[in-house]
Amino acid sequence: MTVIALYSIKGGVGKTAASVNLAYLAASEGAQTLLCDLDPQGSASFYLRIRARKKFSSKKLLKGGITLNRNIRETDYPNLDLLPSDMSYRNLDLVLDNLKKPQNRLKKVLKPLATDYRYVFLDCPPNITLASENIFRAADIILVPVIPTTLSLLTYRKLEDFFKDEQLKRSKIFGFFSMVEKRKKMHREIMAEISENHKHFFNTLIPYTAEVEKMGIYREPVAARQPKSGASLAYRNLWEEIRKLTGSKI
Amino acid sequence: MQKTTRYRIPQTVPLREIVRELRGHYSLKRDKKQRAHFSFFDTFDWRLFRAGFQLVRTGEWILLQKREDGSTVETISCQVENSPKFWWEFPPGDCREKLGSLLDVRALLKLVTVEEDFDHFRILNRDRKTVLHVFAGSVHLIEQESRQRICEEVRVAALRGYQQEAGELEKFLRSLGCLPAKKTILNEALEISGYQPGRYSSKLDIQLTPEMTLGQAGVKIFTYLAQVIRQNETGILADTDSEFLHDFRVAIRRTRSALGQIKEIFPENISQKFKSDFAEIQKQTNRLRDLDVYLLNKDTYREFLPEEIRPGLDLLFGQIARERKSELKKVVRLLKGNFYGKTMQEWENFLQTYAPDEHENTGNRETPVKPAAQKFILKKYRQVLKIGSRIDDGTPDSELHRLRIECKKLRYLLEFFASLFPPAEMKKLIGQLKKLQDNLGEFNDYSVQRQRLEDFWKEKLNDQTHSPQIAVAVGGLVTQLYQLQKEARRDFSEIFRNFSRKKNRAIYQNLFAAKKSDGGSS
Repeated sequence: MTVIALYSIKGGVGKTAASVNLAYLAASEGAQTLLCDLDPQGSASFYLRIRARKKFSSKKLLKGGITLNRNIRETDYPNLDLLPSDMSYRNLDLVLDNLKKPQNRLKKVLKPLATDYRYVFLDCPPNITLASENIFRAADIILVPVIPTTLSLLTYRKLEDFFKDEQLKRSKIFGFFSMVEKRKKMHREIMAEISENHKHFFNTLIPYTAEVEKMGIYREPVAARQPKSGASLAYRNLWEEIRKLTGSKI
Repeated sequence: MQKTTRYRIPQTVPLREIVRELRGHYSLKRDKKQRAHFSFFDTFDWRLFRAGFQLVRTGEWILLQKREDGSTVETISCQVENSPKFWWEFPPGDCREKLGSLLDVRALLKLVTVEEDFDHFRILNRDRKTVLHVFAGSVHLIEQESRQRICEEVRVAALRGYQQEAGELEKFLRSLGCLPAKKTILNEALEISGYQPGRYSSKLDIQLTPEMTLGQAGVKIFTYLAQVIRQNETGILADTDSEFLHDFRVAIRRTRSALGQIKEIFPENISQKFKSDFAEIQKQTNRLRDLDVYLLNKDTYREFLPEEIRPGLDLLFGQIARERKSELKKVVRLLKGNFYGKTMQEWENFLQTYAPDEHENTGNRETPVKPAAQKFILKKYRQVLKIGSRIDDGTPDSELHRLRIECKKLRYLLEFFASLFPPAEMKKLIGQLKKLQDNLGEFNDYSVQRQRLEDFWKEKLNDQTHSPQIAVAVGGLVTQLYQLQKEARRDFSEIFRNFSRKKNRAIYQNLFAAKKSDGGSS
């Protein structure tokens, strides 16, 4: 089992779109895949048309086992299951705070899923807290979507610093450019600069397209609805790169 | 997708009516139509059925399914090109391994083929998300040219996490008269085509009652055995697997043994005639069985020999396989020939029309079966004890051979009359006897195989095709078999001591010694 977290300190960077499409592509190749929607906004769940059960909560999530299993739902796509988001996830930090050894809690909860799933994707809430620290420890790969702007780049560096301070493995972090508009000069310049100085950036760029924006209307992964579109192709290439990485790492 | 539940549509309601009702209540989205053939397989003696499995082939996929309470609890699958007959013809993997333990040496036979023709719908919820898959359609039994409807069904499979929706749909279907199906498709198809699952078994199952006379019981036993002989003919002729001939020969041996042991129920000349006729049939199949045993032991023999002399073994087995081919032809000729046909016909006629009082010298015919059986068994048991207790390390092999024969006779008696005595105790006695028989059988098998290998080799010496490689392999095998034979002989005394211990003798005494309360003992 490989745990892949999609994470960004900053919101609105195309994180959820990427996690839904990447999870869809992994599953479409025949690998049992689980997407965990840990973002209390529940956008990934919304895209896949799944609502949370009423009695589930962050407490139960962290208990794991049968209660977690019972809340997993099958999506309309073969091999792809979803753990839907829950409003109570906004209290994740409070609940974690009351536990012993809270930093490794999520890792423990996810471990038994290894018998059922080849890939687990985590769509994470945007901030740096106790919950995100849990995620950093549980994940094998941390994917960070970066819009090629100065501000985005700043938050990416902040994340690297945080890893350094907390003595977390920085080698887990991988960036990719998201919502790229090539006609913008700043985008081109920043990407050129980063490509030179950062090994841990994928080659594939996810463009800013209307198709991705419309995912909220059609409530389907772009890669399923318009498999030949530019955005789908970009996600496919990105997944290729990630898969190669997991192949060499695990 | 989670497990599928099948609902049977009542005969009075057309399928399209049910679909229309579903459309009225649910948001239905049509998916691809599903049409496929499924062929079901099992061995002649229903090994898969008995172990709770079914083997299905659809296209190039073979599915081995473990079933409990009518639903599939586990499926393993593999992809094949041809239809494999034996487990070792399957591609390496889980499927092959599991089948190895289930089928052993028996061949798979095709039982029935069904065609499933289903429309596939998805039920969507308020978010237009699929929550249930619904399949509506029919199942037909396909036999050569004909197509016969087995049933019409609605099948429901919930997506993970949508069990509640499945429960609601079940309620709705029940209100339309659709109830969960009780029998599997395989069972229904078997019923229609006249199969009785589990009917054939190589184990004896003869139901006798104490009210029977020995004559009546005898006819029942012989009729049962004659049926077993007949049931195995087709499999021998088609050379389906080695067990048809084996079961055929065991039934003949049991018949001969019963003719000798259930005394004075038939006129002497009749018993004698059939005894010798069946002995002749047995004799004419001996060689083929020997060759089968060699071929079945091939892997064991290979293990006996070091790598470098195995090629000689392969040559030897090549010759054995060729000889088996010509030997099979002889047995086929025997079964299709006059002698066998007439013997069986006469035997069956005799059993059908047997009226004891018309014959003379049939002093036991009116004896009640139970005391007679007790007498036969106890007598044979004492004989076995007597021979066995005299055997020590210096006794010639021929005495062990004699003991083996008498044990076999005792075993047959216990099995013929088992239904007259308490099952638990009979099972115990048969189990104990089997341990002794296994030891004696091993001793005998190694000895016979060794001798036959030597004979086989001597015959081939005159043959131009013989090769020194074969000589080395035969030498190696003979040595190994001799060692094993000596080991079996060493184990004998311990096993016999166990068999003849006081506690067991008491069970025999208790079950089979004549008691006044049983009355009627002659």
